[in-house]
Amino acid sequence: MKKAIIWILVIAIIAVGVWAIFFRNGDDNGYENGEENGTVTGMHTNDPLYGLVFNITPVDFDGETANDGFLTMGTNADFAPFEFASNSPWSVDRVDGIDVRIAGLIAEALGLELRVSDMDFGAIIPAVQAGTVDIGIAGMTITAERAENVNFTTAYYTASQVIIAREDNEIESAADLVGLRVGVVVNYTGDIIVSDMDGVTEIIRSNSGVESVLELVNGRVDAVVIDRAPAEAMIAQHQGLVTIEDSSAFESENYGMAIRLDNLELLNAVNAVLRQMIDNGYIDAISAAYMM
Amino acid sequence: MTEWFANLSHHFYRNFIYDNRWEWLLDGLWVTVRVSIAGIILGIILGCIVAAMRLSKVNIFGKYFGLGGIDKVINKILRIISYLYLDIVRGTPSVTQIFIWYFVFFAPTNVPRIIVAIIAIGFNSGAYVAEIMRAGVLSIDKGQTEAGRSLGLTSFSTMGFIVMPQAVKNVLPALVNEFIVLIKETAIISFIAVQDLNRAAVVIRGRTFHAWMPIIAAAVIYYIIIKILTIFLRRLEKKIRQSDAR
Repeated sequence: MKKAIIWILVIAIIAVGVWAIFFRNGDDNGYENGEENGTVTGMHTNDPLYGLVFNITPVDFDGETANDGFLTMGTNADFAPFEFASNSPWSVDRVDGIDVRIAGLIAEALGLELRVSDMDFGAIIPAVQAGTVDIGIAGMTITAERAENVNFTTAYYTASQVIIAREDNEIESAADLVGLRVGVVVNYTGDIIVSDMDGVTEIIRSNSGVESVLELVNGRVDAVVIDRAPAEAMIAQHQGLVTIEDSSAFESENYGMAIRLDNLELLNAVNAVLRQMIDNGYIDAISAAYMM
Repeated sequence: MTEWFANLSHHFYRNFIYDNRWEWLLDGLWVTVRVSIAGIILGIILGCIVAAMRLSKVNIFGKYFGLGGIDKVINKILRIISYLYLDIVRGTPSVTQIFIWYFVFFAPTNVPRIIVAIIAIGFNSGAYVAEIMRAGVLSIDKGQTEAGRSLGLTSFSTMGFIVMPQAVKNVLPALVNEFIVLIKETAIISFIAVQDLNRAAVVIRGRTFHAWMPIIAAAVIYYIIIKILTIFLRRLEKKIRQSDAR
């Protein structure tokens, strides 16, 4: 008798667990399929773009991709709001962000499904070159050195680097970083720029933006140089931090998507979709929505 | 073939010579060597202390004050502390440990991160060294201790002059293995932004975008330092074992 009760309990627990794992995500409340042929709307009542409609004409693409039927995107999900780990309804492979939303539409317009591969930022271009991912989208600044190794699509976002410091700082421009300990994220644009500066006492190359800001909060570095959008996302999380801009030292830069040098077919197809998204205002709208 | 070779040499130039990029590797190697040596030393010291605690047979109060009960309590406490240390260190991944050291224990301080790295590596290694040492001491026949004691040596001298020399000889291969593991494990210190050899390769790759050349270079350098250590320690082992072949 006792045994039977225990067995019933065990089976019940397993059944509830299976139900929770497999079926709970299915009946997402507020989720309605708002995609129609060639148009995109905010699909979820919580979606910042809910109700807006953007027309995108599908583009013919019949080249090969790393995974058949999928557009595989290499990214570094540590760069909010462009890409960050999330379980939101819009996340793909548990990564959400501006880049993921844009890539999702590109994949759809190309007749593919998006797949996201999260990796080290420095590993993205080698992965694109090796063909393990089709496209590198990671808030990646178009630079001459990178462009030697991969093709970049049309620029889709204009950004710049900023300095994050504690409120009591005496930093007014990038020149004031001389003699300070400066935190950067390894291999990010900020790392490349600060590495070329003279007179910085020490460069601390953290693994992610969050960690470098943590170093700043803990007083182990005096300033952090990183892209503006993640900087603003992070100082919203920590009190007592400010951003300092220096447009002469940190020129404005363009984000592009990296595609293998010999894969011109994908490059042209992606560019065709990107241009539509720039023209119809989707990129502006989605960026504004994620940067709120 | 020649084109392939020209391509390779071009990439070699880009990855190691242009902009003095080999300096990244050299600096990284220097950091790795320093952390490894300091970590090994710290590991041995900690390991010996903890092994002694595990085998602790304190007999001071009983001997001088006739209060053997206190000794028993002390021994029990020492054993519990050392057991907890071993259990926690062996039960958690070393990457998690280094994060805890850096972002929790040392977060509010200004201790240089290389020191934190050494402490984390040494603290981790100490647990394994302790178990190796304990195994070594236990491998020596009880008769050796009894003989030493009946010859009038103190328990301390018996340990130091009779048991330990034999124990160390027995566990040397295991210790060497632990040192090798430790050197390779130092690659995790890049998780707290220490510029070690592994991180140097990653930084070069971030500059040149070459998929394998910097990583293979780091692997070769790791291999060479471990090979040197192995050869050196094998010689030492041979020397120690000379008296065995009679």
